[in-house]
Amino acid sequence: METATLKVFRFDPDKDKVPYYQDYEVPVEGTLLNALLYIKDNLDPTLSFRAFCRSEVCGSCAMKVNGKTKLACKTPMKELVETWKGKPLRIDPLDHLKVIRDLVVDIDKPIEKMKTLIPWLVPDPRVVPTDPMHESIIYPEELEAYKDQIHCMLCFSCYSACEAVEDYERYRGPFAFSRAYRFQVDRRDIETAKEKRIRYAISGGLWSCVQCQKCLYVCPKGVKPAEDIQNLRGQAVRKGFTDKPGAKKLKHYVDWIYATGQINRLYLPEEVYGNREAREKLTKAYEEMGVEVWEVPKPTKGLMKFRDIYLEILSKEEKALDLDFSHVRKIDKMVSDIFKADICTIVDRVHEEGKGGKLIEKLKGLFGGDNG
Amino acid sequence: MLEYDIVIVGGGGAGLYAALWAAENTILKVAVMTKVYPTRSHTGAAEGGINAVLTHSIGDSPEAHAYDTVKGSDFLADQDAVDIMCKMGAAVIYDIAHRGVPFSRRPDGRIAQRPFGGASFPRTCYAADKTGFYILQTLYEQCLKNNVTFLNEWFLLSIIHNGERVEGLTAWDIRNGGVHLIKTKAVILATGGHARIYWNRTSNALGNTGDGTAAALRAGLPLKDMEFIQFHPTGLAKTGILVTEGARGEGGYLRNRDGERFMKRYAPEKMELAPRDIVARAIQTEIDEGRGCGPRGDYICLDLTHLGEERINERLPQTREHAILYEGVDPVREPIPIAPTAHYSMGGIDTDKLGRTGIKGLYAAGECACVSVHGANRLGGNSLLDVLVYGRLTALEAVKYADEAPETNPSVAKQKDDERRILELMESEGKEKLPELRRELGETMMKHFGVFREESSMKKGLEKLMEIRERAKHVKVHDTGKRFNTDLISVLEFLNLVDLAPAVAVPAIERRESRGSHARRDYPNRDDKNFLKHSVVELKNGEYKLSWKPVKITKFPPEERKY
Amino acid sequence: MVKVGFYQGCCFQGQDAHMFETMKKTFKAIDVELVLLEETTCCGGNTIDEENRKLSYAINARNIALAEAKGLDMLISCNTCYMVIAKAKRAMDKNKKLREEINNLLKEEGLEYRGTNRIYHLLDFFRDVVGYDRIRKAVKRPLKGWKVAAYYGCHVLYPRETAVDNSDNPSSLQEILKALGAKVIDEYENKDACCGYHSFYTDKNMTLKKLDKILGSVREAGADIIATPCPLCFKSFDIYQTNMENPPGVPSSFLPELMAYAFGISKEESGLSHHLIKVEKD
Repeated sequence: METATLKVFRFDPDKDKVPYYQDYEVPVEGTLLNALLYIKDNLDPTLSFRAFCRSEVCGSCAMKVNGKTKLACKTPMKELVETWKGKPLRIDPLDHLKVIRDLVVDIDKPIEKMKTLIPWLVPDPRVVPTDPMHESIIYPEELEAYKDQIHCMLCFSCYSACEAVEDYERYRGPFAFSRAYRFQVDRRDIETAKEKRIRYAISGGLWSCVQCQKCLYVCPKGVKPAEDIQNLRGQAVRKGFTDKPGAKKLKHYVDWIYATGQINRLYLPEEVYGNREAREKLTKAYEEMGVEVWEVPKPTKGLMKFRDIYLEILSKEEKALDLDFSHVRKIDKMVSDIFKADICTIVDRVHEEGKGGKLIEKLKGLFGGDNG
Repeated sequence: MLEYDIVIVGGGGAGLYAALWAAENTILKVAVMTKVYPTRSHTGAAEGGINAVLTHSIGDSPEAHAYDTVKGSDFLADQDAVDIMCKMGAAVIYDIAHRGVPFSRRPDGRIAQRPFGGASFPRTCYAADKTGFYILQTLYEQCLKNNVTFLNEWFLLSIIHNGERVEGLTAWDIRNGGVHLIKTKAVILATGGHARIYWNRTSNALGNTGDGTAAALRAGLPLKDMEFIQFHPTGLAKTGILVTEGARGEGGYLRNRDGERFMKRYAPEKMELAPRDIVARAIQTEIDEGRGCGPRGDYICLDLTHLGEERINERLPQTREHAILYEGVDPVREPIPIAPTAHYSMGGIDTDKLGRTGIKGLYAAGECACVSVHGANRLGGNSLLDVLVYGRLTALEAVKYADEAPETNPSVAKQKDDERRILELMESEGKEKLPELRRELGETMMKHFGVFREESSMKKGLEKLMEIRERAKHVKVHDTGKRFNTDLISVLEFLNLVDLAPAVAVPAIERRESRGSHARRDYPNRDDKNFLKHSVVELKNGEYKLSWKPVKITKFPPEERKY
Repeated sequence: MVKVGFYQGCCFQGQDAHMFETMKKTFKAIDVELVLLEETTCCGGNTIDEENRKLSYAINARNIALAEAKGLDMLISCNTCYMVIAKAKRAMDKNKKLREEINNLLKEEGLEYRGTNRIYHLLDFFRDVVGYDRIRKAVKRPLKGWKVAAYYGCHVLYPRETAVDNSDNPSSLQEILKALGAKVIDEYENKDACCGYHSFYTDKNMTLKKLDKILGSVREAGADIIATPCPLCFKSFDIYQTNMENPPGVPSSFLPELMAYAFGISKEESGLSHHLIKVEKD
């Protein structure tokens, strides 16, 4: 029978000064959970880990294999051996949680953190009848809004893999935001609770998520916390919480992409942090390298049609007013000042002149050769 | 010593719903003690749905629901209790819907209902195919909202009472180690089923070891109708993990070793879609008569290959994933090895129609209890209903009782006793090995008390069970650590199983008839004249004592159970 | 000569336009012609999604449709653009209603999303279309003695649905660097940490902490330079590093620059000399 070596993290704070790894030879058959149960039954009854349902519904057996978070009952041994090409498989407890013993970690803290985001329904009496024999009407399409979030089984895989938890103690954790967001889009939940959740989410690190997408990757149930965090950020801005840098960054993206088809990295420090200096410094650095600096991006060909699509979608989603047209007009003016014409004509002219005109000419000089 | 007014043991559907109703209706000190974090409880594995007659269930009625339940129970359910449960259906459904359970909805926004086996109307409310999961998660959220006190990862050892009233509990704190004495006025046991007595031949979670039921038995409480264990026809051969009925619903074939679709000999019209118990018996017959597949002839093939990859991926993704993961077989190319798997314990702690036991202040709810609302056979969709109705009823009873009950004074003797018991386990010379003995237990149960039963085999089986129970005294706990000692927990769970197994065996031998899930080859018919009664098992001085108790029949006189 | 549509995003235009010139030369050396998809816009940077996900899908369905109209597959260098566009493609392919709705809008511009082309990131393009061998053969100046720390960045590995390599144990970047003749360092402590680029304007502190970790462990592992296939990770390493209180001064490189250099293109033209943190290695 094919076997593999598991190097399993062992630590009993009552007995061990420091953690150590113990090697076990296990059959390459079934899942990682099978292998651990095999160890417990045949090799070493003292190994501690959690397991319960053994079929991906209870979320007990999340752990790390060579640093990557896995649900043991959902991870075939064969796949692990193939991925790691015969290397030993190092089994560790989840990250960011205190080890109780061996692979068992303390999950009380993330549960406490989650509680601060009101992850439960606060019924709106106008929707949810107080008469217990009266049904509240919910249309099937309403359920779509939170069909993924409700699969969270509290396995804490995402909490372990999270880059924000790693570097920000107070960060609530990906799952917590998903579970909170689930009620933000439930019509039965009262508006005051929704407002509170946003406030608590912001103080719980809503803008600290780095959007690495690891939570989407490790979630055994297809929950997409990073996307729910984006959704919550959007709600925060719409509810008027616009003072955070992240909110200003979003505004930059929404306005500049509409106006020019591009963001403007030169203006980001100024528009987000009020830092004018950064633009000057960056401009100077580029100029020293002989790179010409464009204050505004080259307007994209087809920009006016692009704007129509953009506005049409926002209108349909009842978000057209999120566009700050006075800001867009300012951008338009910058563009026309630089190109000495209004935005509608520039788009075509720039392209008639061929690939952006003088900059490319200059680059040709810099790099030599043809550039089609 | 910890002190509460009400301790709920178990954090599944029944325990959490009880906690919620207790928390909202009293200022008493309530705690939920559970050996796993609540959301990991096995309620989360219930897929199908929950039966209830709702206000928009035109043509249906709680009476019809009650009749179906009683008929499904093969007339062994207590009809006054069934009546209570069915009448409360709508109330609990609306209540949990109002708390956020995402029930699937009809186009008009009302809770959708679908037909289920044994029901005369489509009355099974569902939330996609994860009804139990969503209920469990929602109840947990609501408990957090209500600041319910949880003793997570605590293991129940003993129930303390003075013969009249409950006084407290002893429990092992899994995380830190140590036996604790808990003083309380009321206890609700909501510890789930005990199908793990079949060890690897069960669809149940690793921990469905009947801890509360076993503690109750040891505390002198009677267990009722323990011989009734429901088998699901299609469990994966190696692990017993469930393959959904949908696999047959989508057109899967059951084949024996000759490739024959044998259901034509058992249910020529319905074939693979015959009721659960009939299919389970057919599969077991094929295996018993030597037509099973595999080197040991111990399974049957569930063939989905003709459905094609696309249909399997679309309709049965979970089945495919589980077959590959747990059986090493891709159903797109090969048939899935399956065999009947122990699924649900109808029997349990004897309670009255309100969930009360014979000891004041001690209640039982959910699968660990036998009210009885399921009698000899539970209908699909009725277990979640039972869990909620009795979680709530026992909570209200416990609140009422604890409000007026006198202070209790549990003796520390039990704590000392349990401490000694655990020390002995660690110091045992370890003549017997847990994994081996556990496997023997499962095999004995399956062989002698499986889908089919027969007197002489069961008698041999019981002897074997008593032998295993004796040998279990020599199992050693190798792990001597205090902190998160899962070796200790496994042994304690096993000791619960060996106490419960004979409690299933004894009434199974004595019930000389076939009724519901109890199918006897030597007594193939139901015998109302002699056995329309509940079996009751008690443990007295180390002996399993059997007695009988009448069934409450109100509206529905027994008739033949025919579909 | 393979022809592929090149999506520029924000990293190959404006002051970064020279990077496209480098890319073209690099790809020419391995017989690939890059056709600039010039009417495309910013992908939204995974930020527009905060405003509205459908808007992100629409913008990127348009970007994809522009490549489809030219009958070209699409090559994306930036990890984030790649992920955002690949996510949009998945959504458009899976959701018929969404596809109809967005195609209705694209019609105005004479465009249609058909879902007929492939979206490549640099890594899978090099592995599957070009082949490591062809890269090896194009090398004129092997990076002998260069100890290069391989850094993938997140959005090519996560989420699962759009990953271009084995997310747990990827190998394509190491293979490419090996083909260039470099000594690859791929076992350093924080190799999986996020570069922090996207949090620079939401939580700057987070970015600086990430940089501190990654750059620190790269240095500890004895690498001369970091190589990443993502221009944003590169910007985080090169530009945001200067925002650190005590910048460790670890040089970094955008993978095509190293390739250009190994293919014999001058350091100046490869872009390697345009970094804020100077690349001293020759």
